[in-house]
Order: sequence, then C-alpha cells, then structure tokens
Amino acid sequence: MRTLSVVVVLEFVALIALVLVWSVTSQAESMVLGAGPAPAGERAAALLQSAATRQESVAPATAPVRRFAASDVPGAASVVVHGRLLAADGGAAPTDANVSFRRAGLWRSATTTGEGYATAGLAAGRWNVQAQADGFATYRGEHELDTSEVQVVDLALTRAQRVKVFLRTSEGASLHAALAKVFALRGLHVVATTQAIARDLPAVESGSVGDLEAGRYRSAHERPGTKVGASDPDGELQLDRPAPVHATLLLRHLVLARQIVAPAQSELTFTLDAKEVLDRLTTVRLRVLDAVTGQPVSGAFAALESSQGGGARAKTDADGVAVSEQVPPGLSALQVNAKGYESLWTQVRVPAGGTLDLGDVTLHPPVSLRGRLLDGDGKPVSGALQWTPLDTMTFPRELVNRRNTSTDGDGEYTLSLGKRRYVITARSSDGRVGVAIAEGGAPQACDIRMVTPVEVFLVAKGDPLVAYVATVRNHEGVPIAAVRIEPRWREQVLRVPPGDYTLEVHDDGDRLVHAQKLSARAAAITLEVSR
Amino acid sequence: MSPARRKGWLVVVAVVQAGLIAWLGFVLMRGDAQPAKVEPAPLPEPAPRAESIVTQEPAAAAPVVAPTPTPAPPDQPSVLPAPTQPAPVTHAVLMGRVAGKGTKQPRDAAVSLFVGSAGTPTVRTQVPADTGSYALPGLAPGSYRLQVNSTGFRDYSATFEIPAGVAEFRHDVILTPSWELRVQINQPDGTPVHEKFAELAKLDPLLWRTSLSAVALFEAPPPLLPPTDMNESDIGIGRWRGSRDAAFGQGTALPKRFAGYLELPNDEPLYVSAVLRTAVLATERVEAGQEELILTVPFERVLATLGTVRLQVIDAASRRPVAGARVGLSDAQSSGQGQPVDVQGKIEMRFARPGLLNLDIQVKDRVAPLLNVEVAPGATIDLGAIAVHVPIDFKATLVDAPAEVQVSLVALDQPAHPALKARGTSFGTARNGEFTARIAPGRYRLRGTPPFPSTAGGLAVMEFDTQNLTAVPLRVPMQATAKLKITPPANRRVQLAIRDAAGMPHLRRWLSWTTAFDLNLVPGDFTVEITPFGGTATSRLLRVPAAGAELDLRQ
Repeated sequence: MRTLSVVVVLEFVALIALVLVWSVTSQAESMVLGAGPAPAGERAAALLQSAATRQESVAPATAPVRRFAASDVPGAASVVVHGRLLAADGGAAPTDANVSFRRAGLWRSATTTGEGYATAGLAAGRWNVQAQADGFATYRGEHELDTSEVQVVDLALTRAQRVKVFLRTSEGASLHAALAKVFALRGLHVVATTQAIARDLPAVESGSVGDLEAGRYRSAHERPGTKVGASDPDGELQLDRPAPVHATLLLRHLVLARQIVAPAQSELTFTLDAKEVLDRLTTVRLRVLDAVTGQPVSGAFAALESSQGGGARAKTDADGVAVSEQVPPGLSALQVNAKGYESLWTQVRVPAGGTLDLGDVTLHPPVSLRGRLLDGDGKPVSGALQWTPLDTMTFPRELVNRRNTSTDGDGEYTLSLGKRRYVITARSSDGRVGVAIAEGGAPQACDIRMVTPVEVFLVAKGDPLVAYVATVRNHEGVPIAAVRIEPRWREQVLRVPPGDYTLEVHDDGDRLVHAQKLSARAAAITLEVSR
Repeated sequence: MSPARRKGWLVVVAVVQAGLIAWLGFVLMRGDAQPAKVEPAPLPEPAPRAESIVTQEPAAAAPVVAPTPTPAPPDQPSVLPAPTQPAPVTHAVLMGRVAGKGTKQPRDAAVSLFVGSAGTPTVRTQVPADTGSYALPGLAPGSYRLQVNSTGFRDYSATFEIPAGVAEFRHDVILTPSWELRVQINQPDGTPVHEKFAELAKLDPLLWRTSLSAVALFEAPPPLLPPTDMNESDIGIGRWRGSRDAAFGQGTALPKRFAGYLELPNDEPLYVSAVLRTAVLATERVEAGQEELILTVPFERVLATLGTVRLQVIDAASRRPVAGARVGLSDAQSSGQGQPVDVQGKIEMRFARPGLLNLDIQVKDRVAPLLNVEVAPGATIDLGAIAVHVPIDFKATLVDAPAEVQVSLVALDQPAHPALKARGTSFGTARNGEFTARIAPGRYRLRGTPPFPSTAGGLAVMEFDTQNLTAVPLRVPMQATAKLKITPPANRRVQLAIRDAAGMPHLRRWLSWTTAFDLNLVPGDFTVEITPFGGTATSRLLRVPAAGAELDLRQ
C-alpha cells in the first residue's frame, strides 16, 4: 500500500514535469505561428512581419532583439522599433520611404536610411503602420508591439503600378496651358478609389482633397522651377491597390471626369475643355458695412483663400461692394480687412459656378480684450490663443484656426477684436488648454484657466467618402472645440478642458448624425462616428 | 474509505497517470506536440549590445566615448524565433534619450549623425518632446559624431565608435541650458523701443518689419557691422530670440519690457549691442552669466538710421515708364507684394533698413534684373531708372544629376549705380536635372549642388550669356567633387572666401557658427581669403585633391 502510494506520487510529479515541458514547447511554437500576419484586407500585399516570423519568409534577420537595462536619463518609457525596408519582389529596395506609426492622438515618424528605418517613443499596444516610397504601393496595416524595449519589424513593399496622367482638351492640347491663359488655377487633382465616385466629394478647405485609399497622385505642375512641356504628362498616379481602380479628376472636391485604370495600363488621359473647368468657378459678391453707422466701407479688402493661401482678393468700391471672380468652389477662409476696423475671419462655402452673394458683412471698430493665462494656482502661463466670432458660426465647421497670437512671459495677452461675442481657445507649450467666452471690448480682463485636457478620439467608420464635423458645446450650447473628419483622415482628436459637454456630429450634408452628452474627465475618450 | 477500496483507487490513479506519462513522453519524443507545428531550432547567437551615456559639461570639448560591447543578458527571451541560418549583424540601430539638465526640458531637439570626420550629416531626426527618445537605423560599424541642437540649450557633440557585430547601440544625451541674457532696449525715458515701433506700425505698415535686435561679439563693434541680406545681422555669437520670435513659438516668452534674449554658448565676457541690422546703436559689456541687460537708444536715433530709396521703372525696349509696376524692398528671409509706382513709374520707399535689401520689381510679362540695394544708415538713395525686360526662359539640364539639385543663378553684370549689387536666386531642379528659369538678359553664373542635407556629391558650374542661348536647353555636366571640410574658429568671427584657379567664387560669407561643415568642390587649386572681424584679409593657396581636404580655421 505504501509502495503504491509512492508510485502514484512519483508518477504525478513526472506528469506535472512533462505537462510543463509540453506547455513551454507549445507556447513557443504558437508564437512563431501567430505573430505579425499581413493585415486582412490589404490587397496591396505589403508584408509586415514581426521579428518572430520574418526569418521564415522574408530574409535572414539583420539583428536579433535583445533586452537591456533602462536608460539612466530621465524620460518616458519608450519602445524603439526598427527594421528593414524591402521590395516584396526581391528587387531594388525603396530608398526614400516615409514610415510612420500612429494610434489615437499619437504619431511617430520614423527616420529612414538606405539600410532601413527606426523610430522611438512608441509603447506597447496596437499601432497603425504606414509606409510610403516612390514607386511602391502605400503600406497600411496594424502591428501589435509588446513591452520589449527594442523590436524589429521588417516591411516589404510591393511595387506600385505607375500611370502617367495627361490632362488634355478635346483638341489634344494641354488643359493646364489652356487654363493658364485665363487663370492660374491650382486644385486639379486625381484620386484613385476602389469604388466609383458617384457624386462630388465633401468640400474641403485645402487646395485638394488629397490622396484617397487606392493611390497617390503627384502633379508635375507643383514643382517650382519646373516647366511642364506640351507633350509631358501632367502628373503620375501610383496605385496602392492592384488595378482595376477608379481614377477621378477633381477640381478641389468636384468631380470633373472619371476613368477606370486597367491592370498594366501605364498612361491615362482625361479629356475636357478649359470651359468645363472655368464654368465651375464662382463669382463671389459681398458688401462691407460699418457696423455702427451702417454706411458702406470702401477700400476694404476681401480675400477668399484655401488653407494653403492664394485665392481671390478683391477691394470694395464706393458702395462697399467687392466682387471676386473665378473663386474655386469648396470651403474658403474669408478675411475682410479695412483700415480702422476689426480684421474679420470666417469660413464660407463656395458653390460650383454662378454667383454667390454673401450679402452684407459688417465690420466693427477695433476694440481690445486683455487677459492672462493662469494655471490652477493662479500663476501665469505662456501660450498661444485663437479666437472665433460666434455670430459667424452659421453652419457646422471648425473654429478659426489659421491666426493666433501669443502671450508674453507674464501670461498676458491682448486681442484686437470687434464688438462681438467670441470663443477664445488657448494652448500652452506643455499641452494645457483653456477656453473662454468673451465679448470684444469687455472692460474686465478675461483670464483663462489652463488645465490638462481630456482627449476625445474620433474614428470615422462606414462610407470612407463621407466627411463629418464634430462639435463640442458647453452647457450654454456654445461651441468650444470642433474638428473636421475628411475622407483622407479618418481619425481626429479633440482636446477639451474637463467638464460636461454635448458632442454633436454632422455629416457633410449638415445632417446631425450623432449627439450625446460628453462627460470629459481625466481619461481619454474614444468614439466612433458614422451615419 | 476502507483500505481495500483505497488501494483500488490508487491502482486506478497509477495506471491512468502511467498512461498519460507514456503518451506525453511519446508526443515530446516525436516533437510534434499540438498545437506546435514547427520544428524547434537552436536559438540564434545573440548580437552584443553597447551603451554609452554621456553628459556634456558646459563649454567642454566633445567627449570621446569608446563603449564596450556587453555580452548578451542572461535573461534573453527563450522563445525567440528560430532562423534557418543565423544572420550576421551588419548594421546597428543607434538609440537614446535626450534630456535637459535640471527641470528645463528640450522641446525641439534635432539629432544629426556624422560619419567619421565628415562635415555633412549622414542622417538627421527630430526628437519628439513628449518622449525625448530617438532612433537612427542602418549604421555600419565605424566612428561617428553625434550632434544635438535644441532651442535654449548649448549645442552638444560627442564622438563614439560602433563596433562590428553590435546590433543596438545606446547613446543618451543630457543637454546643458544655454546662458540666456535677457535684453531690454529702451528709450531714455525707460519705455521699450519695440512698443514705440508697434504703435507706429499701426499708422504705417512699412514699419511692421522693423525691429531692433541685440548682437553679442567678443570685442566692441564699430558703428557699422558687415553688410547682410538677412533680416538681422548674422555675425553675432549665439542666437538672438526677439519677442516676435517667441510670439511665433520659438524660444521663451518674456515679460513685455524685454526686447528679447540672447542664447549664448559659453560663459565669458562679451560686448552686446543694440542694432538695426548693420547699424550699431548702443553697446555695453556684459559679464559671464549676467542675466539681464538694459541698452538705451533714443527713438529719434532709430528713425534717423532708416533710409529712403527712390527709383523709376522703365521698359527696356521702349525706355518708357512702366506705370503698373509694384516695387518692394525685402530681405532674404521675407517677401511682400510691394507698393505701386506712380504713372511715371516712380516710387519713393521710406523706412529702408540699413544693410543689403532685395529690390523686388513686379511687372506683368516683364522681368527685372536680380539686384540688391546697399542702404547706408539714414541714406537717401536715388537709383534712377531701372529697366524691366521681356523675360527669357532659360532652360537647362544638369547631366548626371543625383536626383534633385539646388541651382543658384548669380547675375554677373555689375549695375551702374554704386548702391546696387548683382544678386542671385536659387531653386530646385526636377529629378531628371531639368529646370526652367525666367530671367532678364545678361551674364550669369550657374552653380548646382545637391541640396542640404544631402550627402551626395557633384557640382555643376557654368557661366553663360543669355544672348548666346539657343532654343536647345543648355546641358551642364555634373562634375565629380571632393569634400572640403571647413572648421570655423571658436572664439572669433571671420569672413571666408574661396575662389578656384579661374577666379570663380565658391564661397563668400561670414562664419557665425562653430560647427564644421563640408563644401563640395571640383578637385583643384583654390585661393582662400580669410578676413577677421575688424581685421585685414590674408590669402593662401589650398589644394583640394580627389580624396578631399580640411580647412581648420581654429589654428
């Protein structure tokens, strides 16, 4: 009986030992099998492989990963990721790649050399990885980082189908040359998509909507000092997806022409006459009045610009009327300036073609608003401020974000405003934010409390060609933060002081697609946006 | 439980356990345990790692660090992948942290890595302020110099060796804050001069660009500094951070009474002057480490330093006035729309800042010659008639260009008026080396080099006259070059001019920095002219062989 008991105990110990060995072996092998698969849905077939898998199917490793002691130099814990940039077909590797790691609110750009890339400042977790190189399809994927201080992720890029793009008139002449005779037009852009673009895209304040999911367009006309010959291509489309894809010629967000790019196709010609483009340009009229006397203001300047500047500029006549010709359609920043008046900035929507009458724009005599940025202890904080007149927020849009001023070293600021109500936002170099609602010319100082913000991450889902505007309103319904989510950037972040708010999301048709209470406390908030 | 029953249970347990042991042993012996499907392979030989952590003391020479490769840590992961063949380590990744000494932390640190003694960085990167971490990939074994620059901190430089076989190399950096001398430039009544300028700029926008700055020098300066085409004199030691810079997010915001501050590299006595570009308005000596300085300048004196420039724009062919022209005076760091001329094509431009100013003349379908105006303090200059021409589309191709090349075109025809100087313009070529430039008729010198910070060599040089151009684009060969590494002096300012044997200038500028840099030159003999600030020029011959040469001005 005793012997039998001893045998059972010994067997049990042996069994436990064998189970442990089996467990370790199984774990090791499952890690080899499970690490870093190419992301689902990436038809570009770029390979992203972790250190654990790359030796199986890519190439021998250059450097095994080692752990080592943390740095003595102070700083946040940081994961370094580096790896090789390879051509998936084994040919010449990309030499001028841009590699970035991104996740909610964080963006890390890698440094690249001919031998690979490296980036620091990452942390464990899932990251969106993007790699772009001339002649290669854009790689977009996800990668899970662990807590190891140094990790190797090799990227193998597939070669892009390159398509020379010609913009020609019906007579075979250069469209750009024909347009240049009457108008120095920028904003013609070609986008590549997997689905046909059935309607105009959402209006943007940029010169163009940028590149969409299936390819990148590089205009030959954008390079200063380079003159494009009559027979030269107007640009090149590098496809991120295997053809067929849909190529669409746009004037900012307006669809001008569509084509399908077939596999192995190397040239693409859009044929349309200059008139078809010029007919989409708009005449914009407005009248500038003195807000106090109601009299016309002559000699005022009205400028309509994209976010890259340029655009149309007109001067008001004796009746205060300014007429800007050939304004590209889309969102435009309207600035109205006149000597002895406030400088008014707002945003307008310019439709395609015809005449847009903006009606009367009133300018107030300039008044000052003074105040300070203060921390929680009442100590001054240096920072930058932006201000938006609330009476101009007539449709869902971002706050004015292209002009700012700074405080001095005592945290003091002075704004030159009109006698209107404004939302004033402030940001310090250490990332604190503050918000105030104030009236121009208010006699009392407008001190703004600077606090650590709560980050609200917004991720657009669903139809990739829909744009949204997300607006955070305070308890009075006043917008204190707003951001646009465009087809090319499907993630955005809002930073607001802790508090209770309402979040509204409108689509590009101004339809309210989402509204909710937003209790912004210390922790970041992630919200998905769709309609 | 009865003993018999207990014995029965023990027998059952013993048999079951024996069966499990046998099955597991079989599975493990076969090596195909589920879910594992891959043959286990030996672990790769670990690559060693090296670390160096260096803190640079103020004004210290760059420390040389010879890190020792360390053996692989004993706690290496046991589940590393199994390569079919362990690959040799050929390149390392350099990584580290950049932090400030004390509580102040760098916000815009830039890391540059130089191979060996090269003067051009092989790779550069920005350090994100929120992490203070950097990583540079693909470094072959060898010696390197790491340079770190950040606003508010002294420049950092260190050399080290990355040994062969090292996969990861750590180099952490602790930056020392700069000596920041806060400067007030006040009127005799104690009110800041910049407040007076802000007040006047509301009435006359032409004054918007006008501001005083402070310049630090090793010696008391003469009344006039060397000419500059920059916004502010670039001859001083360290960096001037005006209050306007802080408003645009550069440097530290100061209370309103300060005009700005000087960020100085070393703690040593200096002379600090209030200047309006080249005109010195007041000077005081400061002691090492001094925190504040007040310079007193009467505002009338500032206004008296501003000049006036008059001219008339005429058409080169008809010699008639051009009424639709716009004319502006700008520096190399700014531009503007200019002001309209009158019906006679005439214009008078007030508040011209002393020094070199770009004369920008814009006329539809015409082009003006490339000109600078040298404005003496308080001078009134009548430039007379300046002709605008039908533009010439100068087309050229730089043959064998290494991707994009930066081209400069310098006018060679010296204008008749003594205050006018021929100047240059620069632009990038297409990737195939082609470019088109709209220029006025005349003689030009073309110089094409890969743009900074490219490490590629090659130089295209040619002088041409537009009257000899044909419809066929000019083809200019890129010639093989050698690198001349130039190390500026540490404690004095010199102007360096380098000409080749044919007299063609390749460099002419004041060296206001101390970091070594490379100049690409076609191998040959050159004349080097060195003019110390306030001193006389000396010349010497320099041979630059194909393997390159060094010009160390510290000696």
